[in-house]
Amino acid sequence: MIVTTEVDPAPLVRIFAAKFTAALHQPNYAALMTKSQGKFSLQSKTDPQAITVTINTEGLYVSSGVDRSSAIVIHLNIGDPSASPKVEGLLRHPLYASAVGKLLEFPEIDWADGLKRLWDQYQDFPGMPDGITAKNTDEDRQLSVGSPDEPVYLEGSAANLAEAFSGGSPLLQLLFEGKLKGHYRFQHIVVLSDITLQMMLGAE
Amino acid sequence: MMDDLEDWMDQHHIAVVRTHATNLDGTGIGKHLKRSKFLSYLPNGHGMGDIAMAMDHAGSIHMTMWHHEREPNLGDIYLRPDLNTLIYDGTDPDLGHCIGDLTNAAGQPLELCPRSLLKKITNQMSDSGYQASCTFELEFYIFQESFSDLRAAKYRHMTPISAVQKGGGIYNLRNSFQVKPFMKELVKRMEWQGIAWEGWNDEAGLGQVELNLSPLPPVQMADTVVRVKQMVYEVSCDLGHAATFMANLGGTFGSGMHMHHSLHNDAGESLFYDDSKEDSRSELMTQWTAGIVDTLPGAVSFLCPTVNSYRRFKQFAAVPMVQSWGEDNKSTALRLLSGSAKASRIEHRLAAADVNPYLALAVTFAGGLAGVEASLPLMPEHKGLAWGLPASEKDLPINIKAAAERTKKDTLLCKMLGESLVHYWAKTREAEWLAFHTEGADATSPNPTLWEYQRYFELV
Repeated sequence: MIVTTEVDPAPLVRIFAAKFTAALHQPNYAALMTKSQGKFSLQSKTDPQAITVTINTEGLYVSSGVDRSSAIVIHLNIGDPSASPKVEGLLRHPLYASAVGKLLEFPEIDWADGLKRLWDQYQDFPGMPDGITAKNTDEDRQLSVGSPDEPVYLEGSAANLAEAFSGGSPLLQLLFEGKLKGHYRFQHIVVLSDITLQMMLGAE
Repeated sequence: MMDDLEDWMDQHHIAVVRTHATNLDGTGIGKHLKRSKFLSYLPNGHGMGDIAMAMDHAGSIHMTMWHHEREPNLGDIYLRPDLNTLIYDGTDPDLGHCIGDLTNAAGQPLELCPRSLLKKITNQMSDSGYQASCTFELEFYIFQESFSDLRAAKYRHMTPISAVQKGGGIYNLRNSFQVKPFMKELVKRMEWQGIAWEGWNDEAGLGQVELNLSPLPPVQMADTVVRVKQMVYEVSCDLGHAATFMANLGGTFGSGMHMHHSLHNDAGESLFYDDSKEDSRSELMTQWTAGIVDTLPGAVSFLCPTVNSYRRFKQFAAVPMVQSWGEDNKSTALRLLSGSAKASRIEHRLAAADVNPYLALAVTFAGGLAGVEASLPLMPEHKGLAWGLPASEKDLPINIKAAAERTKKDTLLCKMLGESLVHYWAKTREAEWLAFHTEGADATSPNPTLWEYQRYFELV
């Protein structure tokens, strides 16, 4: 299965393409995707953003807008995944809606694995701190990468740390929302926000 | 020096000085300083939070891009006044204006300061013996309503100030008559401030005006443009109207900012004209043009800086669509006029009205210098109309994201302007693209969205 997008993809297209690409590393997810062939759309409840996902034997294709031939259209709050979505076409395609629902439950990422991967990939990025220490406040567990001298220190729940280190949201947004707290220099947070934004958008 | 300055301030009753610098987006930033404080800060100028130079039109700080000149923990930068630009307001009896450069605490110019960047490029030109003379054509729309009226109405039902009848064409003297009270006030204030202008006319859009300024050296010209744009805003406020330099308001005709420039030597002799050549173009003009044309795709993001800038790109709407040049051809990106030593010049027709004039000139001259340095060959002249062309022609990037990608990949511009500046700029454009898509605008709308009006109408 390969994931492709329209030319000049819109941000939401890139975000979902990146999520699908990352999830495909899990063998079970690839099997789930194979069973979900068809076309569905996601429409934001709060703004005009929308995408259509087409899955066939060749792979998964993401494009902008709601395609009228989609079997189902899921209206969701993109900024708040916990809010209940409304599904158009549910009664006509209940099994397909169920399969898509599972497809959109992207595999959870372990925050510690995410931090290690981020550090391995970006430690030489211009402006990066010498090290990062993260503390999972759910379990009172801490992990450091890089140098222990004046590292960026971040703490929060496992889910929020995973959100940051896997590129689920730009780091700064999580700090603004109070989901993460810490000790850091402004420069380092901007650089880490740049990296997490690029991860979110699926930049190579 | 200081005594002369104080004498001048006494003569003109200056009690307050407004400092004025320009950030990357072209937003005017500065302070109103009590005269004694302004003088006490010389020569280094006053401090201001570095976020002022790292902020977008919406006032959001650049949070996903870093440049080594930014302060690690939100410290201060400085606005160093250029005393050659000190003038009196004319309307406000005790106010003076002074344009300046953004520097660090040591007084060194910052790469992210557009005015300093233009100075750097023009200094390189001077080192090669090239002096530039340039001017801009400013296009903008004026409406009957005030800014607050339009804000409240969410920019619907705007009434053009000159709409004698639907249409009216261009150079229409009845439309011009409708605009005259506004323009009369504007040119009066310009003259009070010593700003030389050549003419104005009714333009193709309803309520659209074109103002032509007299040629000046590059930095002075860009200073003049930012002053006039500020003045257009102030006249609008004082007369209860609204005027905008937004590039497109949904009609056929957007607002551009055509730039004319020529090169001459220290003796004032044209370096573009060579009467021994059949086409009258000097070798320098050919190579200079080649560099500008070669870097054109990479320069688009500088010349068309906002999401709205790209709405101008329509075939047959007086906007260049392809990488091209032509002799006296208004459909190509560069229009060369090579007829005489006095008039020999290049008209660059790509920039949108929302462009930052310092960056527009810097990126254009950087291209020209690169062309001369590398003795670049000039692509064949585009003869004929450059609109409605087959797909095989070299299209320019026509959205902000694609333009930013081309900018990052332009090795000549990276070399001439500085790689860190170019990459930082490209990231700011990507942030603009991201904000447009994710902050409520309908990206599929064929017309400017409320998001664009709210972000750009009063500020570009």
